[in-house]
Amino acid sequence: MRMSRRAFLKATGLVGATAIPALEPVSVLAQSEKHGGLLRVSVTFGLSTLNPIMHISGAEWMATKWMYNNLTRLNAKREPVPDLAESWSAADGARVWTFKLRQGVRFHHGRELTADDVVATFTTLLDPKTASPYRGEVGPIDRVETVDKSTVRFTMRAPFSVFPAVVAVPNARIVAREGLADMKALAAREFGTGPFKLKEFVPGDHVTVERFADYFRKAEPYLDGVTLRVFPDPATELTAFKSKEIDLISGVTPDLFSEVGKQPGAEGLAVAGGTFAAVTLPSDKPPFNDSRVREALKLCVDRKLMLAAINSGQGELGVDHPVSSAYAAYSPLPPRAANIDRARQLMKDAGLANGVSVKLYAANSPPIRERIAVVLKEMAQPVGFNFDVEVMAYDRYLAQVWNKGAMYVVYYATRPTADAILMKLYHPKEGLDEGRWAPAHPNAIRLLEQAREIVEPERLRRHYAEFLKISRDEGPYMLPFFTNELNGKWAYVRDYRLSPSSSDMVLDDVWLAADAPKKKA
Amino acid sequence: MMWRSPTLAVGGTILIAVITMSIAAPWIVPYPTTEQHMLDRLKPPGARFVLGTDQYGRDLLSRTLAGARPALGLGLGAVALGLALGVPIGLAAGYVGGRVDDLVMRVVDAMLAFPSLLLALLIITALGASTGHALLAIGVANAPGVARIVRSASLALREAEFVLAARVRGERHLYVMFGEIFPNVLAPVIVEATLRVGFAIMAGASLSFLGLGVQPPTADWGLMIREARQYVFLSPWPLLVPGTALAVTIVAFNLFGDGLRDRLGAT
Amino acid sequence: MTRYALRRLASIALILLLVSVIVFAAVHVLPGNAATLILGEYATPEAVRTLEREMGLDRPLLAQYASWIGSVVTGDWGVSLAMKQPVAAIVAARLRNSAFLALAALTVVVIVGIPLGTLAALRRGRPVDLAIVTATYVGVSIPEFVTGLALLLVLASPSVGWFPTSGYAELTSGVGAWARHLVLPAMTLTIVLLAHIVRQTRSGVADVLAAPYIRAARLKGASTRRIVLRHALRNALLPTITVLALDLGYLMGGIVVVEEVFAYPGMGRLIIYAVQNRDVPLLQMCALVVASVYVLANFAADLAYAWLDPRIRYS
Repeated sequence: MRMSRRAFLKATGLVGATAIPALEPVSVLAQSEKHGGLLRVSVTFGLSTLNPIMHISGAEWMATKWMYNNLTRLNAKREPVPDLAESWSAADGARVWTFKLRQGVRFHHGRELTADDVVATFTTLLDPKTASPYRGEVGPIDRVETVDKSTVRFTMRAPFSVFPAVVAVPNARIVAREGLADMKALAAREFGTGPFKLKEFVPGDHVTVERFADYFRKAEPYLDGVTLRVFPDPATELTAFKSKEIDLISGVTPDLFSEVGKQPGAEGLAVAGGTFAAVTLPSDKPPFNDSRVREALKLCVDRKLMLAAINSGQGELGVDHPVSSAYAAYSPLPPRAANIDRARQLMKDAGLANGVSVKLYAANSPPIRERIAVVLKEMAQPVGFNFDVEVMAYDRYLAQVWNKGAMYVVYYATRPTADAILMKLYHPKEGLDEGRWAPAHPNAIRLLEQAREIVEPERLRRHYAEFLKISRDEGPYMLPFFTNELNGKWAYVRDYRLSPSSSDMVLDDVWLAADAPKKKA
Repeated sequence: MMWRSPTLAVGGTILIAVITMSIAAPWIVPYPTTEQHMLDRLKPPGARFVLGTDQYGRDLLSRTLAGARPALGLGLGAVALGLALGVPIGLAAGYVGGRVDDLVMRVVDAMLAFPSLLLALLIITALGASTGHALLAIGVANAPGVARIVRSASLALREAEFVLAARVRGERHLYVMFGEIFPNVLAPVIVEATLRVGFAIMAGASLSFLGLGVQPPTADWGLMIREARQYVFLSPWPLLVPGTALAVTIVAFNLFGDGLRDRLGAT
Repeated sequence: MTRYALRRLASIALILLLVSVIVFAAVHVLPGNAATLILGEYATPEAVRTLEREMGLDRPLLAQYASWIGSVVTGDWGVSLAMKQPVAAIVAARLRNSAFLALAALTVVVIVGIPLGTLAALRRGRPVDLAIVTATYVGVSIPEFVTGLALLLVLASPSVGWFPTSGYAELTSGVGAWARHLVLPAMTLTIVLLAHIVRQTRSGVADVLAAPYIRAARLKGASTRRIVLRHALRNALLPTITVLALDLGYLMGGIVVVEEVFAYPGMGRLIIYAVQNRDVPLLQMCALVVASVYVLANFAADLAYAWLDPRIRYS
């Protein structure tokens, strides 16, 4: 992967060495020469609010990433590394987390960051009256308090070993306490410490940020500013990119991806992500309450063909659990090929030799949902599954199908931790348990809860591996593949690393080479 | 005979061919319409797939033949619904006249001013996207226009001799409307109806194209074109085959309707 | 005449009121509301309740409608629930885009269609006439999205690349870019609308040419061109204007299919967006604007008709 190579180069101090073949442009310029330029990024959806406590779309997460910081951020391996916190420690079996803040960090409006700001941010995020969509996604926090001017202590109601990674989520950006008083105003103003300050914001259209000279990462950012622009659709976006009106496309669709590489001087970037579409197999009623039937369905699918047909091959095959290689707690399992004979046998054993009819719902947005449904219908036919596919508009899907126990296609983006996505999919209280599987499998659920007590990464990985096996064999989801994160950029954009969660866009150290077009904001 | 008019002849012939194909489709399709051949995706016309394949490797000829039925069904059904709603309203308004006519026509005008896209969208969002609901939406959207035409014709005939004669005879109003006036407005209504079928088919295909009509994986021309859109630069066939079928069918209905109008010397 | 105009305007106002009531009622019949759609799959019952309260969606329906009407009469069209910007600004921008497209299409249709129709009438029954009538006939019978996609395929494919595949460029990016983005959608619409104008002009001119006073003028030696320009066109203008007015109504609200094909940010797609997000303030303004254009265009056509043809008098 491109970025790990760069990370390696940086880490081992080999930046600037000429012994490496010129596969990647290695930055030999002095830091001052990297300064300047406006980076123009595109998205095709979102950007209605800049309030970091409330926002939920990828474009908004990107914008606040540039204007704010979190306590920690995730590196390429999705492990937490220092951001505003320079260190942290756990106590009392991962029930108490203490974060030590960096000194001398300034907000854009001048004041220095203190522990009070962190406490105020989390208090607002957790307040039911704020009604933040992310309130339940930051862990079982009981209270958060200042220990001293630069130390914050979180006390959890239950062990929560993954907390340092969780505070990196977009909705836990640290906001100055003055800004939290007026949540409505926070939609169009910012009170952050990030590398860039807000310059201009037109909801639904674009946001422009400019360099913050007092950023705590000295010498960074190199860019003078960044503009994030919303385009109505991928084709228009690509056209703008081709004519160099855009320097970086943040989410290229798979069918247009090859177009990007064809431009001389442009590159397509692909990284294994954690985003997926999967089919729920409601395990609380026939036919899927029988684990043989679930297994039979999972064996119908030729995952490689499905990935090729639906996502132009841009992805990583899955084995019916949601933890891809983009997660720190990932452990590989052998791939699962289709086996129609065994599937038929399982159906016979389950008493369904004559087949079964089931309704399968799919929202029509994003399009991958209906494609999975249509292809699955065909692949499952020979085994005796007769799926009555109903595709519907997203608004109707939300009101009538979502989380109501039917068989439908779910779609999830990459989460910061395996805990987050696993809990969401399987736990009846912490998540949605859309497969209605938890009541019959309390031991498996206990495995998930116990994981929160394990702090040591290698032990955690082994612990999750057990659950992943159970999910693969008996779980209520048919998950064929994860889609790659795809970006397109011009070669003059340097030191850009594509994250497995593409809205996690770090621009602190990105710079523009001399041959970048000169333009105004 | 009827065939003296070339538009009527050409239009009629094509229509007969389309209708025959739509009826015979289940028996003459070379492949099941939803059968996917993943290794033969987006192929141009060839030996195995006479008109090529789509993005899932489904045979375009089979799907296009099968798509005739929903298209025709929707077109004819929507117009029938429009007539069923619009004719009685128009007859009544034209016959009764006066205040009632004014009021009814005001409502009809409001319905005509109501953006038809929005009307279809609301109906379909409320009830769900399907051929049936698309038919309902298009039929309802057609009704005001039909009502208007029938009302003008009916208004003109109100004072006609045979109508007055019937009233003098003591015939009830309903009979006069449907028994005396209606047969005489039949000609323009039929012409109008035939012309509207073509546009109803077009509207139905447009709704499917927007994702508001027939849903995957059914074979339907508008839906096929919607799905073909993404891959249009990889293979033009998934667009061209159903597109041509759609165009030919609508042209046929329009020709037939125009020919009928000339022949019946109406409107 | 003025009394007629005033009565018409009054009934227009009534029609628009009726439209707004229907829209309001219909949206509230649909499953879900703006709050549930904003929260999407992050919704929890309490989050939804809080958001509804914030947006004023928990008030009784009549109160919501009344407050909306109240602000509209003072000129305040409210704030879009989904986009969080003033509705008027959003609609104005989209309306302007749709207007550009409509005008571009209508201009070409008039410039190309009227001469074509005249030509067809002059050469009536001959191959030229047949060709013109057939071509326009086919043009109006092919659905817009098929025509649009075919044009896209031929003129915007990567190998040809004359025109961008979609979207819209602001005038500020340069007139060239703006124009290039308009060409394909405008061409699609032109092809669809040509038939109307050509047919009207053709039959109008043909009728005039057959009139006795024209024959008399011809016998006196007046040139065909003079006859056509002085008399035929003037009289053919009448029905042409009616058709143009109807087309304008169609263009401003109904070309969503063309907008969809070319990802053109016009009124059609905005209406779809508003319904999908149950964005009542936005939807209301959209519906009323489109309906207004339609009724006002009709009204203008009727007035123009009366002005051009002294025989018509409204009481």
